Amino acid sequence: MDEYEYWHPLHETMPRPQIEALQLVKLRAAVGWALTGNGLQAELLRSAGVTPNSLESLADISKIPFLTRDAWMESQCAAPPYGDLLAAPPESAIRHHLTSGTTGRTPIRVLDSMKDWEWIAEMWCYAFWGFGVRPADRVFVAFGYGSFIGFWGAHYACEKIGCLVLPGGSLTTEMRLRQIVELGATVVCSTPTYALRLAQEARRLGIDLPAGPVERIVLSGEPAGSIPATKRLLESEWGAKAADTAGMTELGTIMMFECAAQPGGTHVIEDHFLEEVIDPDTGSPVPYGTLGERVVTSFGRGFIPLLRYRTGDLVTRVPGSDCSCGRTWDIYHGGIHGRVDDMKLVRGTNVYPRAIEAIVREYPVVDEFQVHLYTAEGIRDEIEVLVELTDPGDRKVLPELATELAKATEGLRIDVRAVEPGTLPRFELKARRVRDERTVIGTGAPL
Amino acid sequence: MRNCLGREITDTEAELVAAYEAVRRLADERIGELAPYQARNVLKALSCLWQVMNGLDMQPGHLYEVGA
Repeated sequence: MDEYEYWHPLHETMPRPQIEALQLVKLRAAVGWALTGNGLQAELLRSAGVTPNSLESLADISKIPFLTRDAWMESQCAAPPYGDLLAAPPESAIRHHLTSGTTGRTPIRVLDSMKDWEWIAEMWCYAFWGFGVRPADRVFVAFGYGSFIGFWGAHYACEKIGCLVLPGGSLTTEMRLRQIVELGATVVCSTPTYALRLAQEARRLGIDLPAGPVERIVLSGEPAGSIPATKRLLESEWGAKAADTAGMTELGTIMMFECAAQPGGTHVIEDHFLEEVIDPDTGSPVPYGTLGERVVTSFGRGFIPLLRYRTGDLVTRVPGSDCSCGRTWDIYHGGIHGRVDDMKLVRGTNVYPRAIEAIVREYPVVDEFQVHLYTAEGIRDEIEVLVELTDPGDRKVLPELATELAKATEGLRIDVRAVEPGTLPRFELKARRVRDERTVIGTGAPL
Repeated sequence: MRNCLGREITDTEAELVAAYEAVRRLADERIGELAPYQARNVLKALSCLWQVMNGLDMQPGHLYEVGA
């Protein structure tokens, strides 16, 4: 079994016409299932007159109205705790989870059944197997095991594969590091931010991670897992290969993963998800190679049917043939580039936090950073990047970093300021490195 | 036996389908006769075999009506 390169060899290497034929069959089934209920998704379908038989080709997916997070939240607020989204009786659920809440918005609540949880793990199995994880591996999951769905699916996937799982909940960073080394973990699951935090702490403790047992790091939870500079830094600090994955609580699992060939992006799990990339303003599809917003349709989780969900994630889709691994599944080049609502407008210039991170991570002397936006003298928006340096006395990197940031933001002046080590926040889950304290110019009211 | 894409499944795959169908019948028809340790493990097994049916493109539907 170990010699198999793919978790599902037939589907992962299927010719495109067959993948699309399979997706059409599954799309019709998903629509039929949603229409058996009377929930929000069924209402949307009925309002548009969509039935399984009205979908003659994949292009007909455009007949299905978009489902938005706002509509989901409205439904959840009107009919708490889950809204009018459940297509199965709540008594058949075995688990409740929430979104992470890192955006500050009310979390979305979800339910899943026993079969759904096996499916959630199955999606993670594609990723672990595809990245080379095998039954002999020992997988340390650096995760709090709380109500956020996070790496729960990864844990079950590793059990399913037959790995020895080392659950890392309720431990300090130092305890996690000691366990990773003492128990011989060969794989670590973490957010990119926390993997860097672990590496920093290892240096402080005198633990030589590159000389340790870890061979692979499976990343999730933040776009940084596909930022080349961040990945290089992680791979160098750990002496291990790092691969990105991305998922959503709304799906219950991941829908893309980076394979062992590391093509600089993530394969979409196309036998379980139908992904579209659209212009976020017009809703029209964009061609390969063009940045757009992900819209996802899930074929797996039936408890909450999800058809044409506007994710807000920005991606650039390219053909699977861009990767040497043999998978025919398309790739999101560079993973998730950020979110439609991440963008900050500063003095007329669009600033994406991921673009800033991509530059800051080119400087290994920067231990941690924060993007700070504020309004100076009540009249002028300013942006500065606060950095903690590995050697606080060596500040010669600051002007160069400011120049590079300006180049990447159409000449926008971005001050770079060193702060005392240990003063910026550290994160275990999704990082929040943007602190926006701007006010409405002339009024002092928060933006 | 063919899957939803019209592919003839292999003999081994047909055995997996038969195993799923046998467990599914137990869940549908006999679950009330089973002791807790039998009933819950039948549903667990069914949930796992469902993944195989789904991967074989046999369109297994959902299992909520039997509690899985």
